[in-house]
Amino acid sequence: MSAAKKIRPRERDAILQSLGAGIVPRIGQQHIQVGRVNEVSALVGDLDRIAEDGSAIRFVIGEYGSGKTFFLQLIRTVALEKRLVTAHADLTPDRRLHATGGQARNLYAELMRNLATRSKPEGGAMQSIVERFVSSAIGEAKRSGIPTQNVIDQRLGALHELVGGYDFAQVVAAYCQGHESSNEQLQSDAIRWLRGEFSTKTDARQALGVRTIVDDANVYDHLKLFARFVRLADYSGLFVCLDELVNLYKLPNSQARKSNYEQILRILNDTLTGGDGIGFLMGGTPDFLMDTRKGLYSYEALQSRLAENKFAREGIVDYSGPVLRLANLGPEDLFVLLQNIRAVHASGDPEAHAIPDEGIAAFMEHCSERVGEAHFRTPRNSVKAFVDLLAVTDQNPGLSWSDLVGKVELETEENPDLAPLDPDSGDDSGSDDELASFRL
Amino acid sequence: MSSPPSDSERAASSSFDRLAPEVQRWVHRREWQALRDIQEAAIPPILDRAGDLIVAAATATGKTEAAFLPVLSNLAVDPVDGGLGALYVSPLKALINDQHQRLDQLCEATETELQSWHGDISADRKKRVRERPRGVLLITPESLEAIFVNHGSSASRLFGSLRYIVIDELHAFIGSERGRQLQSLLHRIELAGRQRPMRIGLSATLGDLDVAARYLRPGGGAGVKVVESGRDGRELRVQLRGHVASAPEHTPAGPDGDGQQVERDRVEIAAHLFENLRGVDNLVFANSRQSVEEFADLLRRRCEEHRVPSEFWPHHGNLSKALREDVESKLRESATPTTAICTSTLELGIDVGSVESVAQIDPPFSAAALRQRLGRCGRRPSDPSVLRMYVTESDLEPGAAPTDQLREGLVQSVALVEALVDSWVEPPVDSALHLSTLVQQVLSVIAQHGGAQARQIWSVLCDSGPFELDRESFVLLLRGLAEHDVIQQVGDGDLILGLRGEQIVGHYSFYSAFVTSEEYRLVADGEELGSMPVRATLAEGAYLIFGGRRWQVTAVDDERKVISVVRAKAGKVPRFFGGYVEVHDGIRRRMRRIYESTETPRFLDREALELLRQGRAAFAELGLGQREIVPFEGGAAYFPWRGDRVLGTLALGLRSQGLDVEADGLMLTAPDAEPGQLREALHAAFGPDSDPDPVRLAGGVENLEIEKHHRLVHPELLVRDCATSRLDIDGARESAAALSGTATRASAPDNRGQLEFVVVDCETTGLHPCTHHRIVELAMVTLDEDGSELDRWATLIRPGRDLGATEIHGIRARELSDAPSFDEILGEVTSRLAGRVMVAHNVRFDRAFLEAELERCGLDVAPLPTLCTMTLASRLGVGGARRKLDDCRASLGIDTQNAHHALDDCEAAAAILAHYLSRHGSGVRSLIEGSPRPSQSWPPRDSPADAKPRSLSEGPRPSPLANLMAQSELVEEGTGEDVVAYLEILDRAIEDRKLDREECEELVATAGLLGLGKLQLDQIHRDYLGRLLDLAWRDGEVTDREREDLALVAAALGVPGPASGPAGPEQAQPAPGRSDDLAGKTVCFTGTLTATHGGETITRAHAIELAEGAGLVALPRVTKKLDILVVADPDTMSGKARQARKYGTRVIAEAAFWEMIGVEVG
Repeated sequence: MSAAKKIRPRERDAILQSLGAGIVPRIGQQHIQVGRVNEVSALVGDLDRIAEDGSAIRFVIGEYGSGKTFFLQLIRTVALEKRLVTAHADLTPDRRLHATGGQARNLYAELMRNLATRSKPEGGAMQSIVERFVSSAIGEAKRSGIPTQNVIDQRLGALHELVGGYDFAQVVAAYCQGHESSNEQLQSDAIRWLRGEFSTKTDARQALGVRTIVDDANVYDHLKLFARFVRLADYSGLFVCLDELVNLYKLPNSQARKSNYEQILRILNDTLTGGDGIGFLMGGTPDFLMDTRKGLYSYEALQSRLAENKFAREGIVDYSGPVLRLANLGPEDLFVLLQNIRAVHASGDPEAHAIPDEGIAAFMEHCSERVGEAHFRTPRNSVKAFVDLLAVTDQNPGLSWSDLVGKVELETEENPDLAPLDPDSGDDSGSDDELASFRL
Repeated sequence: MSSPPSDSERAASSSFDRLAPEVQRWVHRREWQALRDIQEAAIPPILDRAGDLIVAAATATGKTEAAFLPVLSNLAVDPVDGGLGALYVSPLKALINDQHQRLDQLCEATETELQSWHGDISADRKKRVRERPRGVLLITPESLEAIFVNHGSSASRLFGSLRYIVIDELHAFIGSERGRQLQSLLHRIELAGRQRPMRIGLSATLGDLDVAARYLRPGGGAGVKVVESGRDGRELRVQLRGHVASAPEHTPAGPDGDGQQVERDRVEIAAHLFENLRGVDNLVFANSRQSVEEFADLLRRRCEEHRVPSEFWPHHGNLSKALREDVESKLRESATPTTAICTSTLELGIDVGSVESVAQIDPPFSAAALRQRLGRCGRRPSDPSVLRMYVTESDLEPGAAPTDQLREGLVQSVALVEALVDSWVEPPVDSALHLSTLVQQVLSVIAQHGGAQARQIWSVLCDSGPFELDRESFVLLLRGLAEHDVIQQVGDGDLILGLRGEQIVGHYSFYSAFVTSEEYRLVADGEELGSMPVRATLAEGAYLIFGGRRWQVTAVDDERKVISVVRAKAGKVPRFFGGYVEVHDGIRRRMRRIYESTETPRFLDREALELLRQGRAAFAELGLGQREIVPFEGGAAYFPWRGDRVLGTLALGLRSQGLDVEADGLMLTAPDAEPGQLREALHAAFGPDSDPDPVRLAGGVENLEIEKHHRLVHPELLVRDCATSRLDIDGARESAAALSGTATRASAPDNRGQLEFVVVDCETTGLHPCTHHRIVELAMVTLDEDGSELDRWATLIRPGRDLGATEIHGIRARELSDAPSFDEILGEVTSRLAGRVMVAHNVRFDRAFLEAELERCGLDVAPLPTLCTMTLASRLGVGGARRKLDDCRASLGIDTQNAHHALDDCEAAAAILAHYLSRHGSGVRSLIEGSPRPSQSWPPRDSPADAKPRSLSEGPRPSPLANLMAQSELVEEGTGEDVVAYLEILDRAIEDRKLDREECEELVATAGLLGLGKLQLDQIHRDYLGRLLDLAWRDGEVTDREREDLALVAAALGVPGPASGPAGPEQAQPAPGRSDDLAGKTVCFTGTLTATHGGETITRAHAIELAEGAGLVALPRVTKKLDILVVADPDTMSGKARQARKYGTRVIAEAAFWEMIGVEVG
């Protein structure tokens, strides 16, 4: 059980709200983290390497519900602590590494929207990063007596050697110009360009005088540029978290899958052979990795590079390879997780616990009766229900936990776009177990 | 009679008034005189967006505008923000291009964007729609599918604000794979947009509106509103030309030299077409692409031979787009006379302008298609529809097959023309599981969402969607797909595409639900001519006819699938593989009637008549009038007179009994079986004790994999799919039952079987049999399930009592002297009732009388199964609120002949039923009360007496009040059916302006039957009188006679009389003096007066005194000059009363009379 330390109200609320909504909190993960000490320390090592101009890539592989997303977010907060800029996004059918219909640019734009720094841990940090670059340049100009413009040009010179670096530098320069002349339009155009929000070259040329934009073909190049740029702005590096890589596996077109896997190979090759202050953390399922027909392993070059240590089997773990396996949480882990959530709910005050340990045990028993073993495999819904339960105890101080536990309903996860329009028209009785638990 | 014109004009302007000003201006600019009726009717429901709508009207009645005037009004007044406002789905790309042109200006006028999306639209334009969805999008089902597959994530943005989905040519979708695909797509559009746009189905030909409604909104067909334009009153000119095939001969050598072997009948037909069609635009339909090419070639050569420019061009789906569009534009231009020889490609609504006539080569298969084809003819309503049909029968040799002897093709053509005249079309059938299409949709849903849970896919497609498959079977389907590596599952349970599935979905042909065979492109000099199916194997050097011209193959490139050709002189018609169309039950039944009849249709030419005569002779010779199974070449032939689906099912069942059976046109042949064996096998397979299992029978079908994805369907399910889509077990059982019974109608039609109707109308001595009133005239018209008349019969009946309301039915006693009594015609009556549903206008009335008569003859009468045409009229929205028979007649355009003439009334009711059946078909079953009883339950009884139909004497003269009542809407729209039924009886009762005790009793009995309480009755009477009064005041004054009538009715009904005046401003008008209006009239009293005046009973003398005091002239006896007979007891059948009735003198009850002349009586 975690130590009785105080939890700040902002973190408490963020954690409970996120968990209640079935999503991973973006801050305060350390308060509820359970186990996985070795995995965390392996990743912390990666982060240190990135901060020292190195690079890293890890594939976090685990079954559905094994806590990949939580783990990614946890590492991301650590990265922020280490003065790295982080960017994270889920891959979807509409957001991928390679595409021809704008889906790769969508991914880039999503990453840039979620750009976070220690002072802006919840995202939207693009402008403050660019501002920081500018003010740092101004500071240096003052110190050294060199005109600001020269300092900026000199710093941006470091970008020119990279693919697309010239235009990138131009855009940052345009921002600085806008900053000097208080031209807000120019500033916002520059930010939009950097966020990958220009969709045509014509618009970009009119607004900023550059001939290129971030498009499907150059997403990875721009990430590399951005990694170098954040260091020019005095950050330690860029840490990119890509989740739900299973969506690449699900792509229904083998050519599209292959192109995306090629991009992964490119990233893998780059990061394994040298550094530029950039790191990648990718979350995916075993299918995504190992299916030799459609997964990463279907791509020969990737299979040989990602093949796991032959000695790492059955409890012997190798934390040095690019693939990091996350085991599912066991019942004991889940118990601790719920305890931690209870502690967060009580703001860290052991006296204020809303429910005793035997209440947690009863809750778990109730859940496993309802949904069986899946309750442990995918704790998301149990956690959600538990947070709801805690909220009910708040609002009904008179009720005892034993009255409430039996009433907990567990939702099943569904794609809302496929739900019937008239909820009552659908036959949602329990009789469709055959399909609900359908296995080929 | 219809409502006054002012009403309809007001309605007209109100629909127009509701349109947006921009749309109104557009209508004005087009200089339209008025909106078409279909537009009038469609505008309000579309603007209101309440429920879904079917707009059914003949071609060229402005259906497109009927939908788009209000749709664009809505979008103009309240523009949609960032998304599509309306979607138009069409089965044909060409139709989309057409509609784009048609709607362009209207959209421009309303500043609504109009975009098209189909296979021939550039990727750029599609991208623009995707990125900036606005206004109206015209699209094909296949392109919708492509949007879901390739841009699944944009679906919610595209469809989230959609208000309308207009589906053109709705009938073309129903029942097909593509139709089910469209239903699924519509459902998925709603799910993606998380809302329900209004669905508007446009259709020209609809066999069964209920099926169409269920199709348009699965599970909610009852909520679909239908607006239908009046019947197409266009004159139909048909000629059916018969030909006899003979040995082939050479075509006349044209300038090209080398001729082809062509049969003589083909040459004759071509010659007739050449002579009659040149100079104007026409469409010639042939049943196959092969025939199209053959005739195009024949006619082109004939033109060349006559050294005239060719006007005949082929048009079919294999021709290249450029060639097809060239023909279409030639047809549109009035300067170039053009005849297109075509397949069904030009059947649907591509605008090719108006054509002068339509020709059909070889027998068509379906009435729907024939009607659709004819609809292309003559755009102006005054133009006649001209149809030339050419039917070739084989040269009869000894031992020719019975189908040849019967001249099946010709008789089928005659039946189809008769169906056309009767406005009958095949009701669409949509019973199939459509598993091939379900496979496609499963894959599409997976592609759309990048993976989905099994349960959700089932929920989307089957539970809330259009496919009817249970969970268990769905699991089986999924497992079958997984076995073929079409789908696989990932860790979270999501189903995703397997490698094979990826290939299927990745290929462009995935978007269509139907098979698109792989075809070779045909290229001449680098110009594409069209495509040919792979199966037409062509080697280098081979000759062919394509696009109406002759070619020689120079190269076949199997890699690129290109056949290169050069112009040549010789040529052979290539074989194409066309679709097969089933002949429907309704057509085969008509064919049987044509064989049995002796009438000669007027539209046959001499040779066709001869062929018909030969066919009928063969029918008689085979004895098919008496039997269905005949010996044939040592075996047996079976004629079930049913459609191809039933024939196929029968064949399967007979084969399952070990018989070798083949279907040949309208018959089944069993070469190795004696007729008796065939009969036994039929009994064993489909008899009453059998339990034919459709799935087991379907197992005997040779080729189960006919639809696109059938090969991926689990075998067990595939058999079920076949059973639902290709078998008709009920039909087969009916055929077997018809065969084994003593009569053809031995089987009791149950809820699933075949229905027949007997329409009944009784003229009676009174209102209700409870007071021993009897039937004096009975007419019965029997109809089959399609509403075709089987027979008609009518007779007068001696009632064995006085004639009662002679002034209503107009039957004189002398006519009845030699009429039979009811028990003498009992056999005639029961044989017509047996196994049928009794139909009448206000059926409760006729049923009560008929049941009473039957009971009187000692028959056990369980309630007869009935159907009321008043109910049907209300469903059809004809006849106004009262659904009076006359009004219904008028609405349906049936001649109003003699009201209260049993056979005429009966025919009118039959016409309503037939009209309903043609529109709603199967929907009628739900309206039947009770179930028909088999003939066995009626004792067979000979009818000792012949029927005595009424001579066409003068009809009864209606009273002024009757006129008033007939004119008016005496009840409000939406009045309950029971009340309407009661009022119908009340009308009859009160038509003679008196309500005697007997009539009162009868009315009470009627009310009891209908479950109307006393208070309710009182209210009904008050409302009735109130409306009568309003009506009388409508012209600003109440005439004396009206006043009297009103007073009489009021008195009879026991409600306050007209003195209270109508509601509204007219009340200010002073009522004319009371005693004045009867002044000078002659009056006579009969019976013992009962009223008291000044405390004393009024004597006859006192009465005369009082009457004369009021200015009337008293007469001692009834003469022709007498105006009023005052009766003390309305029941009296005194000599005076009878005399008065005979003279049409008005009979007034005592109390009413005193009130009329203002004498206070007690």
